[in-house]
Amino acid sequence: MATASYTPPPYQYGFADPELYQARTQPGLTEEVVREISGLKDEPVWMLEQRLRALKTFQEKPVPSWGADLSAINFDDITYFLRAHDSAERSWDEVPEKIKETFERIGVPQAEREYLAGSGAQYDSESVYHNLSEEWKVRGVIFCDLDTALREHSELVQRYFGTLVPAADNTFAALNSAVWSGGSFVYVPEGVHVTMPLQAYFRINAQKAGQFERTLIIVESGANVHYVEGCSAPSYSAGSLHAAVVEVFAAPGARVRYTTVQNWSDNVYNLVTKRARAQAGATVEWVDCNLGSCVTMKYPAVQLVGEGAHAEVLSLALAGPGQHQDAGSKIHHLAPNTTSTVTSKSVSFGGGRSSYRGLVVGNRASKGMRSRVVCDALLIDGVSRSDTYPTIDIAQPDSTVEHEASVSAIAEAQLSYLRSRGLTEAEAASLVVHGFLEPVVKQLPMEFAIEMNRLIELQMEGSVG
Amino acid sequence: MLSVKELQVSVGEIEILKGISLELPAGETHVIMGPNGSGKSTLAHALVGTPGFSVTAGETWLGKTELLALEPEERANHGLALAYQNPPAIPGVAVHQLLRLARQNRDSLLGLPQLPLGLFLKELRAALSLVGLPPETIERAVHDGMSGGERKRLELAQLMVLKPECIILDEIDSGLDVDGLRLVGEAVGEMRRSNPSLCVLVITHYDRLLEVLPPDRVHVLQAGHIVRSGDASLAREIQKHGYR
Ligand SMILES: Nc1ncnc2c1ncn2[C@@H]1O[C@H](COP(=O)(O)OP(=O)(O)O)[C@@H](O)[C@H]1O
Ligand SMILES: [Mg+2]
Repeated sequence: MATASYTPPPYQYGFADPELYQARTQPGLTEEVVREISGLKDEPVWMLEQRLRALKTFQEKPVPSWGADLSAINFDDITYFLRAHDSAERSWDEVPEKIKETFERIGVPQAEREYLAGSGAQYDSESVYHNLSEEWKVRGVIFCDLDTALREHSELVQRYFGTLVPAADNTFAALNSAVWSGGSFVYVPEGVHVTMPLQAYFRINAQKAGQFERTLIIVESGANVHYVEGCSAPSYSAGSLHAAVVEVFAAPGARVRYTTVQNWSDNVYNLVTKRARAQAGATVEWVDCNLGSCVTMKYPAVQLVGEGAHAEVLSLALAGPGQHQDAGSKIHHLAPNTTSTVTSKSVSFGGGRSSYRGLVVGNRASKGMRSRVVCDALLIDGVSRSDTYPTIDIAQPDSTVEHEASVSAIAEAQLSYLRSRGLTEAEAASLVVHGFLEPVVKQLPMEFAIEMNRLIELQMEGSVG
Repeated sequence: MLSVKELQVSVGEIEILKGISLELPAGETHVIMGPNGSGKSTLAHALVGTPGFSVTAGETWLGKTELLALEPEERANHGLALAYQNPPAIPGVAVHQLLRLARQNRDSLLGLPQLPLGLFLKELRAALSLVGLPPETIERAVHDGMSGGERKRLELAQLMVLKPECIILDEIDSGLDVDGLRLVGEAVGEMRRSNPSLCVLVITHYDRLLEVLPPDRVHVLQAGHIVRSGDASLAREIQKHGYR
């Protein structure tokens, strides 16, 4: 049978700036490096101590071998901290010209003017810009980078930091806890509905660099917020490492949506721990779109700890040549009548590989819990691969758990049908992929849906018959 | 005109068509009848170039164009269109998306200017209405969640919008009710009116379709060979006595 063949997709954000930094640590990870990072940030002692403990944990833990192949990461070769600029500016004019240009090419300031409540931009290790519109500031919303939050809202940070994702959780959480820098801090007071999204954009510029941002989102009772993150990096031949940790706290009745459009260049290892805790009646939604990176391992998790809490995960992955998207979700039902819905859609093409790894847990307290997991995989050709690894662990007789995984059908019949209508192979593949992903993409706010469709288009481009 | 010469087609290792010849002059309607598994759909797929149907010998001409050297999409853009016996569903892809692209590609090969969106949609709605599908169908995903009959009607409407030179209707009558059958006749009649030289190749088991699509010739395909050809009376004879 004829199979579609694909050339690697063009990557639009592969340009790089010259590597001029005000501060950077020596490659490799030592106690000195950790102390240096903490010192450069002038941090409180408790944070330095926490970092040093995390470093020990990292050094004791093996690199996981149960998932994607991580054997090519050389931890001694990575630069763990790069400071491009002293402070996170509140106005674009103050951001250094070169960096400003970079973000303007990506479209960050325009987006803020048009449809965001606030936006932030991180360049390698640190935030270079953060702004929240006045409208939300006066209502007590806080949106800044986490380094700033540690200075200005230290009690809040200390109360929540690392309580949901402790350093010992996994190797990369330990690494992040030791060398974290930047990331967003969001606080929404009780009852405040932030009606426009907050966005953060993460850019890795340096070669063989690590980006370890740490994001903390605290949403009080009855409040709601939509946080969106995007990212990209230059197309260097030498890989970079992105190991972020995100912790989301949703108080009773709160609603949090966290949307990720992951578009790293295909030399970035993307190993991220994302976890949320939802109290009674709260809803947490992860909309997790993985288009870029060479390897992604990311399983956004929700702990449903209060009665009637709800989790929603929409996971979308596009794995092209040389990519392995190992994505999924983990839902812990730990209270009565908690509900969860997981929808995963993955597309593999040109030899790409996508895996769904999912966990649904229900304990004795989760009486009346309901969970539904639906995984669909689309294979564009016979050389690509898709796997599903679902784990269901329910200790609760009064529960409803559904898991549906569609057998990954090769889209051959659809492609040849469309071609016999006069569409080129590339047009046909693009239509089939867009159509397949549409149920997820349409959940995004319109601007992000347009952006997502554009990125999918770029990723699929260059496919030749 | 469609001209097939000594066509041999294999699927995998198995030879299905063992040397088929067929002359379908411009403006005529020919019918292919034959028992299940005799290779009728294989012929249709070989003509449109479905991957996996390998032509091992022979020629196929559409007018002055030899089709075999062309990609499936090039054949379509030259005016060849198949109404599938079992068209696949394409979730999330709206009927208008598919047809807009298809029509643009066809028009551009013909050197025609791009049809403005409004006019295109008008044509599409007219075609849908003629085959008895509601106008909302333009927003529906291609064949997704459609009944057998709806799929057949949508296949037909698609052909109309594509302004073809030659259409192949592969068991368009299966799954269609009496009204549906009548609409097939009307739709083909409409295509003929706008293009008098249209070639129509009908694949069917039943002569009831031939009441609405009167054939100029009938060919009987059996075990990969055309074993008999004749006029419309051959179809009636087969209907009465079977393929012996
Ligand atoms: N994709 C395929 N793979 C394997 N065998 C096929 C395929 N398509 C058709 N065949 C075989 O080719 C023969 C002819 O099939 P087909 O052309 O569909 O017959 P008809 O349309 O006349 O019923 C049958 O024996 C069928 O099993
Ligand atoms: Mg058939």
